[in-house]
Amino acid sequence: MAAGWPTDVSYVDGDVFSAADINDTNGTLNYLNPTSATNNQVVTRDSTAPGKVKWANSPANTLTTTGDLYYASAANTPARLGIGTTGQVLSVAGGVPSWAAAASGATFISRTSFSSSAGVTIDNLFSSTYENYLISIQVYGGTASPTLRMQARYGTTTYTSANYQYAFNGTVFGSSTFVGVRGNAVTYWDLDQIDSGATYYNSYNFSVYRPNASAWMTMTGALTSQVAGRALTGAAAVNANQSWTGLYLYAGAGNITGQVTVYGLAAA
Amino acid sequence: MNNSTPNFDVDFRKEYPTLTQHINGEDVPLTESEYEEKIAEWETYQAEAKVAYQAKAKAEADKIALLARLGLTEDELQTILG
Repeated sequence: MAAGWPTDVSYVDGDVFSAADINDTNGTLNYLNPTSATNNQVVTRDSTAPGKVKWANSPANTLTTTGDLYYASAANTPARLGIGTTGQVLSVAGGVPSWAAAASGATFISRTSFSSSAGVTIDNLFSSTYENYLISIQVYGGTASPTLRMQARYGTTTYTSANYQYAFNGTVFGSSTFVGVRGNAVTYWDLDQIDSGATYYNSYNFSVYRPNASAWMTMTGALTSQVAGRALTGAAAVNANQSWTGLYLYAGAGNITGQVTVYGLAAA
Repeated sequence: MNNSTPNFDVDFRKEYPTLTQHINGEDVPLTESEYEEKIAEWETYQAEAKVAYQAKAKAEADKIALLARLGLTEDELQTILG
């Protein structure tokens, strides 16, 4: 057979490999022993020895643990980043990814826009990631100048027992006359009159406290009913121990249109 | 501020021949039974709201009439009452 195997040569019928061929002494032997590899390694071109191949790690044997992330620790060098702890966020340190504590302050969670809906279900708002939340709501109604109503949700269930309480008090714009909305042991929060059309949006800003702590969910905040021409502040609660996860909004009558934006507040 | 009288005579079935609900980002049509339940809920709300509105309007009218008979403004009455 032609000499110099396994360099690029043209073999012909009748060539026979001898031990000398196999044990080529010039380092060009291109033989990979399967028993020298570990599970899930793959064959790759050896960049340090052109023309040769070698065993190398694959994603499958680099990612050893649930939650691992795959990244390059240097050029052409795959590496794993083990999952962080609950509440941590992906950050950068020294030019590579790493887990770090979530920044303090408000973190955007979601914005839900809805149009002409008989009811609005928003799940996965509250979790153990944040202790407290900020909610901003803008909404108007369809007909009959109804009130906006809101209920708390956990899992896939809307809580409808008569354990809601709320009181929002204030004045009519430009007047000293006190007005408000309030209720106790009722089946929803009633959040004042909304307009029967897009002329006036009601606006709400609520701080929600520890909704996911297997306890009562409480909130404080302010609202303005533009159609009723008044500004109110107050508080609300649902008196049941639960890990609350979402909200359900609807009007006393007619559809609603608007949006709900939620921010999580870091514990520290 | 809208000072017009709310419309308490909405024909919900005519105005809303179909209804959808917004569930986690998706608009989902109400089933027939859900539609009937929602319309009934709205009609009940409207009837109760009409009664409450009329009672409030009557109370306001009665107060104004009383003040007129007494020859007082509301602020003067508040001052007298302390």
